[in-house]
Amino acid sequence: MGLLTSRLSIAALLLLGLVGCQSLRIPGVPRDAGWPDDLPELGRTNAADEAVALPLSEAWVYNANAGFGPGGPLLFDEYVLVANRKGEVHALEWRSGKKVGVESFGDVINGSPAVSGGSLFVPLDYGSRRVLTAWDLSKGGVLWSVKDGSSISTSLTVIDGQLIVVDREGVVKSLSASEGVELWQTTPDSTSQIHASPISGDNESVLVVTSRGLATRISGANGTVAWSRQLPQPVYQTPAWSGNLIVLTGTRGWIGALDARTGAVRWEVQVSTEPVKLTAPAISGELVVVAGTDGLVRALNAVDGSLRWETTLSTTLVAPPFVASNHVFVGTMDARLVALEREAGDVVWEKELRGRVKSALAVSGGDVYVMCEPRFLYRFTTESQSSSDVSLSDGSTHIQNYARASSR
Amino acid sequence: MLCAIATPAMAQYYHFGRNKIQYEDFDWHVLRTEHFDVYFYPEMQDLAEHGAYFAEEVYEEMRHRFEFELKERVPLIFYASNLHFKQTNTTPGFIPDGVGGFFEFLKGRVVIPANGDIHQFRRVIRHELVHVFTFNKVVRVMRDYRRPVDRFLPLWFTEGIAEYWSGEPSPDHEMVIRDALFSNYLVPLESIYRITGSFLMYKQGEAICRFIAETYGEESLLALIDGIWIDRDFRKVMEVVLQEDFGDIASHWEEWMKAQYYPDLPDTEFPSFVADGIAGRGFSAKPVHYRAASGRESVLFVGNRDGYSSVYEVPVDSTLTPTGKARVVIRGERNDRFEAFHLFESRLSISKDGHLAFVTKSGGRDVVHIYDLEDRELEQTIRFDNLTAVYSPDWSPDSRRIVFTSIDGSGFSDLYIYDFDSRKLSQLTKDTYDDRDPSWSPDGTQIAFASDRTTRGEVGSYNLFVYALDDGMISYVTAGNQKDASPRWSPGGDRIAYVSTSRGEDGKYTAKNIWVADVASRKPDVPALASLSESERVGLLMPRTKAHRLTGFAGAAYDPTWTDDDRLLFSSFEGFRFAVRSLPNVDSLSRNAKETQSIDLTTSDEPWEFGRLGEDSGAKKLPYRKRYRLDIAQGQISQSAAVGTFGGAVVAFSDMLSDDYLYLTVYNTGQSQRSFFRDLSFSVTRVQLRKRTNIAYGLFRFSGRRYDITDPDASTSLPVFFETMYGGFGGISHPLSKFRRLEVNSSLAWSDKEVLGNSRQALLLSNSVSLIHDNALYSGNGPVAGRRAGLTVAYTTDVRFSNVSYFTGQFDFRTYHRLLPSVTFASRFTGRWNQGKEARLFVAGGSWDVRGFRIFSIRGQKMWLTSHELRFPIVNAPALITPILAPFGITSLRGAFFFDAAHAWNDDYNQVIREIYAGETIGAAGFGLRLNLFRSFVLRYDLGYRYSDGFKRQDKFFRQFFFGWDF
Repeated sequence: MGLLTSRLSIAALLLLGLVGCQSLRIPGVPRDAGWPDDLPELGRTNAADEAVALPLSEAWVYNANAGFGPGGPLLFDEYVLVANRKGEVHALEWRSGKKVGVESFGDVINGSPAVSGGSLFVPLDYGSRRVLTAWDLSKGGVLWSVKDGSSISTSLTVIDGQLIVVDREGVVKSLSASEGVELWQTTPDSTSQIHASPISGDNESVLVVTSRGLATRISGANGTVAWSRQLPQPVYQTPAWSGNLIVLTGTRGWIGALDARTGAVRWEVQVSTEPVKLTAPAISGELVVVAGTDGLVRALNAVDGSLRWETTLSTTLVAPPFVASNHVFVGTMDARLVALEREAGDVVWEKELRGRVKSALAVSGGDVYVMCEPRFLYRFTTESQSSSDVSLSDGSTHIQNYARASSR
Repeated sequence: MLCAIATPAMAQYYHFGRNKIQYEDFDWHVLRTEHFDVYFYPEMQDLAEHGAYFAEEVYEEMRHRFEFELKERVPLIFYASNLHFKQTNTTPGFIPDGVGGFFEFLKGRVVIPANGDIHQFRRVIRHELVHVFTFNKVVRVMRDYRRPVDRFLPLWFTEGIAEYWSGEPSPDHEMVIRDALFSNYLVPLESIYRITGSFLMYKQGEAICRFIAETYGEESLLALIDGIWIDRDFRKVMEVVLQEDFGDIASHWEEWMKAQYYPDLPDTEFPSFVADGIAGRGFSAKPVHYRAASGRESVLFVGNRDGYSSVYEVPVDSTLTPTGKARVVIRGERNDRFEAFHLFESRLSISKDGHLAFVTKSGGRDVVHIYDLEDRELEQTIRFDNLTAVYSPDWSPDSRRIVFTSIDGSGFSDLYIYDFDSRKLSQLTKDTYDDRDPSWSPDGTQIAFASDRTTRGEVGSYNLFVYALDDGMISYVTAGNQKDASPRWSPGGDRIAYVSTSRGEDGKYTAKNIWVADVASRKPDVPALASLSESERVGLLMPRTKAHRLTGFAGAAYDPTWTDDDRLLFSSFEGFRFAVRSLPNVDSLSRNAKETQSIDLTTSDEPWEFGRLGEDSGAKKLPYRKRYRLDIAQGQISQSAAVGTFGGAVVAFSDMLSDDYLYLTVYNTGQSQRSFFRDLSFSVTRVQLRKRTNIAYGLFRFSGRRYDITDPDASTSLPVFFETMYGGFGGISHPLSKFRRLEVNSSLAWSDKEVLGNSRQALLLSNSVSLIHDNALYSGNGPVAGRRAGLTVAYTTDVRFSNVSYFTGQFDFRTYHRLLPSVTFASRFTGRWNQGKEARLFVAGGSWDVRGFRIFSIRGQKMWLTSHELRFPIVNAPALITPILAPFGITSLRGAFFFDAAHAWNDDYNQVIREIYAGETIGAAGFGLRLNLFRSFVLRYDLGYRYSDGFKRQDKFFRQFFFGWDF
């Protein structure tokens, strides 16, 4: 009997230990750390004003247990958070890639969660009992949740203490981040859905675009519409907002730029006569970069939309490019991470991954984070390199003097 | 094939079935492009290069549509003709006419035949590659969401989107949809499961996908595929993705359909209103008029009324009103000579001296038959060595030659003439254009035909041409961006009747209507410029042809043919059936035509050709190398009261063309760790299907406790014993025709058996020969017409110790008489005989043969049995009446009155052994119910009375439940 009791106790302790490891709890998470936090993140510019030195090498790869939605990983403080399509959020320590915790929030997460004020806000897609959950990262428990309403397939945006949410019925809502109380809601177009995530370029208002191409700027304070602009094509990708420029991409080869204040069209370009689906755009300074299902990465002048360069990667591209201060990074559907030289678009580095890339990349601290099929998150970091060797020990290729690929 | 490789114990369970015959020994090669491995044989290399080009073209488009890249190269297997396609081993079943190709997801193969029409070839490639992308995308989505890949999109959607993304709606699509709407059989979206797998489902699916794209956005289609994870019920997926209640989506679709087509209704007429009916039962098409020397008139046509395609004849009067019932002239699909008709492709023709020319498949090729309608006998059959497929022969006016369309090994269709006097075959055209439906002019100088040899041919247009026999010049009869087909000269030679469809202002194809072109006014001839050199095109005059549209049908008209100068015969599509009709007063209809065109024959066309991808374009040509890849791997654990628990696995490999299989089977019946190796069984079998004669051979070791009721030494009540057998086996199956085959099997095995405390060893050599015949027609429950028969003789002997030596003889004869379309009387007569040392027992009893008795409870070394059944329907498609039954897959409920009798014995016919019902004639009579689930699984429930002692004693009333098809 004594042996049985002690065996049971050990089992219970082990079980408690496992449960503890499985919960998503980050004690001491700074209250002012968050994502999306700064304007580039809020504006989904897919850009960062930091240099990434090549060549990169693989620091770690993490098995996140399920596939990912189109959004990228969340980077804040010393952590990386990644949400998967099995409804889980995994927290890793950024340097080592070691799992800090994981929590299952529901059936499916397709949009990127957000972190603000020490809380994690998780949007849940169809099939979950809840549609939105606020989670206390320090204590590891539910702060509040929303059970009623349409599910959410897009990413969340946090502006001025408000959580901006777009649901599958195309309703835009603002909830207080602290309590989850609905502050306002509006429906830009009752006949249309919204697949693009809401963005903000000023931390005061949000921009949403419907699938039929109606772009609407909404005041964060009260949900009133500042302006609406009907675009010539359906829009499924999240636009990018930087300064006074909003760039949007259509599903049939159209790119356009709107004035953020007035909604007026600054420029628009039909990049192809083929039915090319363009990725979400990246804006970095006066550069707009877009990729497409035709395998082309196009860099346009943000002022007038004129083409600066285009490079073919000979494969379908669905993940938005990420523009660092010196390079453009692109994840491909033939399972590569490619670095292009920012000014001319030459391919200067590439690495084969375990699967196709469909999700947005992230860059922070000179590192590149990429999520690929079937369920892996990579961190690539700079390895100091004194010579101009062509191939590295981890199998990546640093390409010297690569002749620029001819455009189509 | 594997079932036929039988150990002696299994010898009584041979199988019937028709034979898929490999007539050709294809010399396969592979053309490797960026994303595809194209399998082809040298004769069709040109076509394969076009196909490779089309495939890459489609890949480029599908990348955009699906936002996806395929990880693996896609195997594309091309065949030059439908006849070659039917020989493929990539699918085990028979391929009926009308199958354009398929995608098989086990190996990810796409298999496509050509049929002479390169546009159709291209479209089918597009269609199948949409399936490839859809399948891979669905698998990826389910894995992303960590869901088991245990669901797929509904068939109407996958086929619908494949059709929709193959290109613009075809004339056939418009024909079926228009007819469905106007004849009121369009199936609501809520009930579309009722037509799963039907041609209507394909067309409705395409229309629904077009509706979704136009209403919710083209992107919604991909969103529906991406949303498959949402729910098993696709209706729910549609609701979540389209954000509309399913009922609303369904009614909006119907409204959309009506808005598309109802505006045409006032200008539409129905064939049954304006043309006289001649034959409308079942499928009736390809009519031709016959006037005998006696003045008797009749209409002959190709029809299918009882499951078999045949040539029928209806007697008619001078106004073509039927004066009697249609009767069969040539019965098809029951023998080697008339193996199959090309129902949709090949016309009939009757010469002035009363000879009917028609085409059937016979063996590996199509042949032309000449049937004397006066003497009512088959006069000759002409087989062309270098031609594979043959279509639509037409007689010359002097009845000494025929012209026809044919496809050779290249896969392209051309015109040929066969001269009966000289027995020479001449080729009139030789190019990549699709030349079809030839018609010989009454004066014998020209041949009219339809072809895509026009600039507009590049976009799929077909016009009419004439070939001048004196100088080989080909000139236009019609020209324009339409599809003209089936030309037929009037008896006076001044007009040509044909059918035509073109795109209306709304972009939809019009119905195929009957037109008459006034060729007498068509002067001068304008050569088809594709046939001329540069200099020859200069200075030609600009003529026109006048053409009159006689009809404005909702459905379609096909194959018009003249009976005299003022009346046409044709087949109509209306109410989803093909019927033969006559259209009188052609002159009047022409004068008051629905539409008259003055067709400008001026063209500045250049020859066109589709792109191709060959070695000169960077593709690699490689010889085919056989590599085995995994087909299936399956494990199983079973528990039996008699032999305990056993488990095992079977793994099957085959090459890309499925011509060569390797099967590995391993299982174990051991009861403890110590007996693991003792009770280990395995077998390795290789089956080769590439050539006409199929070969199988292998090695095996079977060891363990066996439950074998056929073993003569085993206990009757519990026939379990331990046996170890090592050996090898081999067998061949040689098809004599599609309906008959010869099988020879041989095995040599060491047997060490322990039965009831006695040990017996033997080196068993077993040889058997079987002749099997099967021309039965099958329905969901079993055969409904035709015959099946099998005869087997075998000898088994112990070549080492003489412990075993017995002969085996078996015959099994089954006949099925179709009394009414759904009522069949079936009879079976079976005899089995084993004679000699350790002769095995035959078994019977149970729902499959002698009802009322427990399964396999009747045993004897000799046995005869007979069964007779009257099979009839009770409820067909009950889900249509009670939709709640639909999810259960209940296809039909049928009944049967039956009578069974059997007599088993060992040495003495009359020695009664009650334990195994031997020594007396026993049987049963009663009534049974058959419930068909999902068109493939049949539950059986029989009740009746059991009899014994030669039917002198009625034993008891029984009820018996089981499963299985009718015998």
